[in-house]
Amino acid sequence: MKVPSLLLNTLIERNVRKQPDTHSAILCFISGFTFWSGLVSYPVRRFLKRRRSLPSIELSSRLDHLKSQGPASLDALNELALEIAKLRKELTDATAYLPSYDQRQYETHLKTFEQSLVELRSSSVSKPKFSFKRKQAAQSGSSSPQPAKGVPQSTSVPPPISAASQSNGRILSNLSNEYLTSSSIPSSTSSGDLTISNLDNCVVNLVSTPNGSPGSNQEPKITALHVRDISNSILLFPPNIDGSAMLHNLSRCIIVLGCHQFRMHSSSHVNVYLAISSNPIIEHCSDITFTGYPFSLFNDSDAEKDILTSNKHLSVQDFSHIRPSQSPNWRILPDSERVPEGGWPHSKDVDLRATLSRLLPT
Amino acid sequence: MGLLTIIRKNRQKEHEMRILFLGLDNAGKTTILKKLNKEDISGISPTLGFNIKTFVHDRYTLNIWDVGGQRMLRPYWRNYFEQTDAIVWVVDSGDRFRMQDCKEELHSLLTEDRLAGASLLVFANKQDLEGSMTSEEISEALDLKSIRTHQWKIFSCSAVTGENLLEGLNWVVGEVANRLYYSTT
Ligand SMILES: Nc1nc2c(ncn2[C@@H]2O[C@H](COP(=O)(O)OP(=O)(O)OP(=O)(O)O)[C@@H](O)[C@H]2O)c(=O)[nH]1
Ligand SMILES: [Mg+2]
Repeated sequence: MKVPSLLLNTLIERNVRKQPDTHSAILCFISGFTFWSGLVSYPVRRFLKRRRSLPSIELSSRLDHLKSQGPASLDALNELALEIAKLRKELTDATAYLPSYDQRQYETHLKTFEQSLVELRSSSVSKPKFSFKRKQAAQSGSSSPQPAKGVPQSTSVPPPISAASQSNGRILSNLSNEYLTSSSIPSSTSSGDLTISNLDNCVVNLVSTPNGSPGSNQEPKITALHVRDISNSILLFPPNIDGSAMLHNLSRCIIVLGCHQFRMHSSSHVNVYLAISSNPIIEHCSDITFTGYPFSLFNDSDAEKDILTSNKHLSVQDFSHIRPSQSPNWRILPDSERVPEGGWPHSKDVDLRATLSRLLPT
Repeated sequence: MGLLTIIRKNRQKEHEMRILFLGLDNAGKTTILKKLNKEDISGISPTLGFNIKTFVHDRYTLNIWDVGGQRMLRPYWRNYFEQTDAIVWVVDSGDRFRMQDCKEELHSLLTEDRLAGASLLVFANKQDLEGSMTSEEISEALDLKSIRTHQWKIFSCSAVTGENLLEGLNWVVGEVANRLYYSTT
């Protein structure tokens, strides 16, 4: 198990597969020549350089050697642990820019090392409490340049009011305790981007259903969606928004929508019912759930029904948790907790208060 | 032979340029690149990390780095600054709420020593959206005219229709070529 060469190989392979042109440059670099090439990014270069300078080729052979020797000395173990911890820290630091495939590769190798170390330790006769590794890990965590979690840094800057009010797009904003449909949206244009902001205790229904909702006949075509500052509300969008959805600062909401891209920032307690063909993104979020778009809100005319069978809505990427482990900030909504198909507030006549308190996440 | 001459000579042989695509998340960086490269633009996921694209434009080999713009990734942008010949700053012209954010990120980028001298192309993207801001409005909102440290120019464009993408690219490649290959120093 020669780690560095494996690392390099996977990197080369990936780049060759993607970019034949960069092949030679990367090879060059590896033989130490590409100072000028500029093809390998600084972090990757640094990562590789450090990986090469570490005696980690020997690491596995040293591990093997120790294993074959019977009980290992504490010093030897300490030294190994330190090196493995260093590798771990480098990998953590590198997660932001290493392709995920490579991350997984390195992760696997490291795991093997760590496992070997554990075995060695348990097989050594004297077993003093061994705390080195843990300390090391904690250090690397605190020294990595990550902004504090859950702090919505952008919201502290109020948007210039003029910018928002100048908009020519459609806007639905500053309302509470209302049932809203597409006829509630004041607009000169009938298609394009839609902004929904500053709602509390509202239902927004932009879905046309077989049984028909008011104002749904000329269902608006949406090519970009911006949603921000919404609380205690249910937002129902069609499954075929032809563009991206950006959501900021939502709390205690249900969002139903289908779109090309989904990005949610600085939000909490939101249940998302999603039809999507790319990976959904969350950042600075907590207590988010994801599940598929409800069958009953699909119209017969919606061509993209096959998106229902796609599971993309579950390949959520949490940019506040760029690690191989499961993010603590979101989970899959169990079927038992889904709003029953017949339970969506289709009609203006629903009791708003009762509906919201029954359906919204607690 | 001074160091700069050596660099220039080296580059001249290769006729290579390194271009960095940056901007807030959702601006359309990856989509623009795919469109320029005549690839399918549906099903693009937000960029976690970076993409590298290499293509030949005129006589030049462009090495384009497309780095993710999610807030979490922005501290890592600086890892890509070295030897950058041009920055392409992509703006979502429909995102009025985040113009302030966009302006601050751009201006702090331009104070970076390692980007000194790089040409700046601003793409006012998503012009196909009805409610989008014009390039003049964006120029104003981002306070582009205060930029003295870099050669810059703004182009309105749409990654979906392809409008003006090549024109923008031509400009920036021309700028860099003049500086790297045809200057007389
Ligand atoms: N209407 C319209 N949508 C666009 C245009 N360009 C990009 N989009 C959409 O905007 C969304 C974001 O595009 P991306 O290319 O992923 O944006 P990005 O800048 O690479 O984002 P990050 O990778 O997160 O930094 C996608 O849903 C695109 O389809 C455009 O010119 N017009
Ligand atoms: Mg991208």
